[in-house]
Amino acid sequence: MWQTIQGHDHVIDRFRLAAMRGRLSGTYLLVGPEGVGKRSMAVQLAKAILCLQQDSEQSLNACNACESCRLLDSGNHPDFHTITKRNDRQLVTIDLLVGDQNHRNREGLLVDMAYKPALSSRKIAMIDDADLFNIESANTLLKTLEEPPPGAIIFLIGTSQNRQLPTIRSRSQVIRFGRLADDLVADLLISKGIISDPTRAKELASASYGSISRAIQLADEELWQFRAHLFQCLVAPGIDRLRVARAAAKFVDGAGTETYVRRVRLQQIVHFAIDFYRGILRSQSGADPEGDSLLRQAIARSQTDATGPDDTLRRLDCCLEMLTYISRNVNLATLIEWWIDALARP
Amino acid sequence: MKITCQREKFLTALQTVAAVVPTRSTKNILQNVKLEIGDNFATLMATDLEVGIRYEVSNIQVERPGVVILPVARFGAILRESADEMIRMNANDRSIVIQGEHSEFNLQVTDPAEFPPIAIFEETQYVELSARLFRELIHRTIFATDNESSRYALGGILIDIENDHIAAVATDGRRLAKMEGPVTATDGYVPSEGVTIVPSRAMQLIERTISDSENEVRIACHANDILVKSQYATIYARLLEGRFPKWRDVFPKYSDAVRMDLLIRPFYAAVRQAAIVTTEESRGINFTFGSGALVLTGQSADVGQSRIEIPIPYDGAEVTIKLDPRFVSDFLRVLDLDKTFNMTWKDGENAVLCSTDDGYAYVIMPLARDR
Ligand SMILES: [Zn+2]
Repeated sequence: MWQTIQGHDHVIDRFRLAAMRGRLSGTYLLVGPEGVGKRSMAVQLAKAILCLQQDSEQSLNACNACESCRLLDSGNHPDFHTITKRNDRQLVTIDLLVGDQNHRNREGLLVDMAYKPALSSRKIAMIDDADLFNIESANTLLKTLEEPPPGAIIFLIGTSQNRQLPTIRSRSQVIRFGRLADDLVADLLISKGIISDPTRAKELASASYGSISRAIQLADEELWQFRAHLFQCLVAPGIDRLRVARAAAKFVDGAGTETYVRRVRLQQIVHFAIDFYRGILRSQSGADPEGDSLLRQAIARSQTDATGPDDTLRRLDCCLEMLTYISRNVNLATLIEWWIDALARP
Repeated sequence: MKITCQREKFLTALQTVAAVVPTRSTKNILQNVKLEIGDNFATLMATDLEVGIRYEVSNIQVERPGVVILPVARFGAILRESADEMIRMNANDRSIVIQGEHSEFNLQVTDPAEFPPIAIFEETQYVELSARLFRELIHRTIFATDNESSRYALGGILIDIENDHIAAVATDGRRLAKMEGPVTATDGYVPSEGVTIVPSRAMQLIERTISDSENEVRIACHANDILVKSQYATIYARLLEGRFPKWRDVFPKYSDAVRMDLLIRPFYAAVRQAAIVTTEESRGINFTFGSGALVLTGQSADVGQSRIEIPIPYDGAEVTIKLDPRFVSDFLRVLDLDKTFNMTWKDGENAVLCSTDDGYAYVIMPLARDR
């Protein structure tokens, strides 16, 4: 079963060892870049631990045939509870944990966990977007982590352990996930049926920074085209603010009418710019270039521009700042103008 | 699956199981009920994964057995809106046709394999008690549960079975209700080792399914769940984790307490009267036990005062105990008004014990008195 999880053998080994010794912890914090398989890993572990076959927990091998395995695959396992940040919220709010004002302590993940297991010998929770707790939800979760229900395992999924409250971090076993190898990403794109042309798969993989979800996003031809266009704009000596801002705004609007999908698209654009400036910084410091050929060409061409690492760093900061603004409720068109203006400043 | 059934009977059964269907859930399959038809039985099932119910529907003519998963809201509406006496249903893997005299519906159905299993009562070891006693166990304790606390165990009723005896206990930390009675255990019955805390929602459902039954009810407690079988229904409920207060320790063991028997009806009337002037901010009522009389006084700054007096068999020193009238009324409300209850107290600071001679006891903590 573990063939479906690739590129994280050390993580699997670590869990295997703990399971064999009967020493699985109550809380795991799985951290690493987006789209490298943290969720799949948690689901796979949950499947093995909840499987009804004898010794499945010790061997971490799910039988794939019992009722537990079947229910887990269909997303209906009564002892496996998951939450993900709501699309219309910026943060993981307390209602997901213990119910809203009108249902406080009567619904939500932690209330579900207050019941004894239904089918398996344990119950498992997976909390997605664990980077995005607000203080209230973090403190509520903390109470459960301090005194977890017997036999419960909680998987927190996040991108960086630095984004966790120290109190949560200190009660978790931190498991780090690295990037996936480009070859693996390319293979996955083909085996998942997203791309059929191996050359194209390789190209997308090299632009993915080891993230399968990113590679899948880039497989969108429109996005790929815009990325190329953005690089051209950024390379040009003296950014044409008006033209770039207008193009970006138009592209963001094209994502759909919902604010949420527009916000996601703008985040993608900003990430492209971050890739670009990070590449520039690498080459300015003499490191080997990274990424796909398109990005590398853009970086090579921009060498003609006489800027130093300080300027590049400033622009990178702008982009990172931009990301935090996007996650707040700010008018996106205004934001884009602010951002392009900041990048264009000499 | 092919059957003909009496619409109203079927609808009643459906409404009973539909009480379990979650109003919102991330698991869409739970918005359905499962109907299983055998050669000589028809069972409706629903679950929200915490509580599950199997309900036997009677008066069904079976042409072809089978299993079908039905969307509860739409299916319920079809039965409700129809005026027909009889309804025919004919289902295959993908859809079901529901026919009345002048109506016909074709609904898509879900794969039965996706529906979570609901336990069957196949126990050989269990205890048996009368439906009447079980109703009292629930009715006389459930109001003392606390469903809003983050101490989730308080949202349930503790069931304690020993030999030929059952106790149900509920508390919110400020008062505690306990009801006891006899049970008959099967040969070789071994009580469950863990603590059995049944969510109050499951208890409500059980109460509803035995509301007009005079039959026996069977209970089997396991480490993680409880199964209750009554005449038509089997209810499965997952137990709550967590620590329940040591309820036996909550009962006061006074050596120098005052005990008195009081008529329920006049006492209850006095409590209700005294409470008329209380408000959310000033809830307490002073119960002053004096020579020959109990005086209840209530007061709040923005409403006014009340003073009610009833005779009592007491001639000791004057003692005042401040109690929340809502908590006192909760206890009195579930009693037979024409009987008496016993009240035991020591002073204004310690717990007051109220009890009846049919196995019911209730402990209330006094409120702090303003000096
Ligand atoms: Zn299995």
